[in-house]
Amino acid sequence: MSALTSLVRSTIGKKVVMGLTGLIMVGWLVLHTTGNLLIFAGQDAFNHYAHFIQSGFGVEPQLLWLMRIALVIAVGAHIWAAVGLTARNRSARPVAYAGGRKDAATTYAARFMMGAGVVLLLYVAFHLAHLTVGAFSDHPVMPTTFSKVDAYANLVHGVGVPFVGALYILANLALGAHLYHGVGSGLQTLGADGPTWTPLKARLTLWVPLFIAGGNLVIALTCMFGVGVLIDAPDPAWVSPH
Amino acid sequence: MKVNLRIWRQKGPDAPGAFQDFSGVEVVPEMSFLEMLDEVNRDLEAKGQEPVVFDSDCREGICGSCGAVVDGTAHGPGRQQTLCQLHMRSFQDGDTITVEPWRAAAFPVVRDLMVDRSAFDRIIQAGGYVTARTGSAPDANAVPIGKPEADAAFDAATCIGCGACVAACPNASAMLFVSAKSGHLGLLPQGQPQRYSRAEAMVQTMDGEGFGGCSNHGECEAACPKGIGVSYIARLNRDLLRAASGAASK
Repeated sequence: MSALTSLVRSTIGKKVVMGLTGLIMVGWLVLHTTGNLLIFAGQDAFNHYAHFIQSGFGVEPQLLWLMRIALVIAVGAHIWAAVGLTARNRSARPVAYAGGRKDAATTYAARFMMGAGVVLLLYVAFHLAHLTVGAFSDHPVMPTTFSKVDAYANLVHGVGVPFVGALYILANLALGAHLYHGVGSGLQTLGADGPTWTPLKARLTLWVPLFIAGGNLVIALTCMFGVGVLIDAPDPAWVSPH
Repeated sequence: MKVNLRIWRQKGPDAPGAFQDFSGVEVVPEMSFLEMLDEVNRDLEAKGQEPVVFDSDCREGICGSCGAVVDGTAHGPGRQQTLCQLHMRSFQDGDTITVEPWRAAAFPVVRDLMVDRSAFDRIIQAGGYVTARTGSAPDANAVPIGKPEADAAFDAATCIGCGACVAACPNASAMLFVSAKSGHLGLLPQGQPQRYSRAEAMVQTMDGEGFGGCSNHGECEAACPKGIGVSYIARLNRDLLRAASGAASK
């Protein structure tokens, strides 16, 4: 059996898939959050950015689909590895400690990776329906109208609905926790360790989730409580397509 | 001082087990945990009852025979010690102490606190060795080895194979053991020819024995009586990735 086949079949192979796909998603999330933060640059800047994405990064609209397909594959592979490893880990200790087992080093974030992962999967489904598809436009409990051109208003008003904002906040707390363990764990699985990597890994473990989850939390809170900061008056330029 | 004990009793691998309570056991703080168990067993034998079965050998922390989960912690409270190095002074008068065997599918209970750790032996058989020409021993300085490599190899080689890493891991993973064993040989010049095939073979056997996967909780490192770190796990993964990418055979 070749070294590659034997790696793919091993538990470590699954861990590598988990780490690689996780880090791909983390890279994407850093870009996504950076884009989201353009909300503070104003309606014009944010909508031009949204249009830039929709137009396939100004190159080719199909590029957007290419990115989406790549992400779906990454998410799918991540879940496949997670489910396989979790099942294996459960069966590796069929009889639990009757008197309990005390944690000495791990974190809550690490213990609830699977739970947070499920929350994130549900959140992604909701988030896509909410702000990409616009499935809840003029919904009785979410009384905001989805605009195909005014992504800024969709975000500000959509997340401004208190219970929707609360959902975004909860989801991003779960995301922060998931990343707090995931970033360091993924790097460790891929072998990043040593005089250069160990301190860098510790810094990334803290700053990456802080930027992604923290950035999104600030946006959600601003949409909920500080819409005045964001919108003084709706800009008529964005009511009709550009 | 007096302590109360809850010790796991199980007649055989397939027999149902349960805690047996021993209340008001007279101990002295200077006793080691195993000496305390010896006393319990002496009482049991005097009453014509079956003694508590547990593994032990050197009783100075270097053989890797002993081990039990005491109050939820492998080898009991305190860092970098084996069960035989745990002393009753770590407990308070009147404490109730829970004692259980290592719990892992790959470590079936033989009896009471004794588990079958031959899965570790099979992992060693798969690759935990160096194929060397026999003959008289070479001069110790015949092969120069850098100090950092020698230190790192020695740190890994301090693994006594007690199984606390598996017992402490939420996933019952043996990655710390396997990475220490493949690491200590893989760091030295003598271990280079089989470095990648060793890593592969040991991991394959580890998976086959039914250990869980590593989730980087770090519980193994905290439980290891020799303080072996999870750096070796990253190193093992690097070796496997290098082998899989074909970079190792170039």
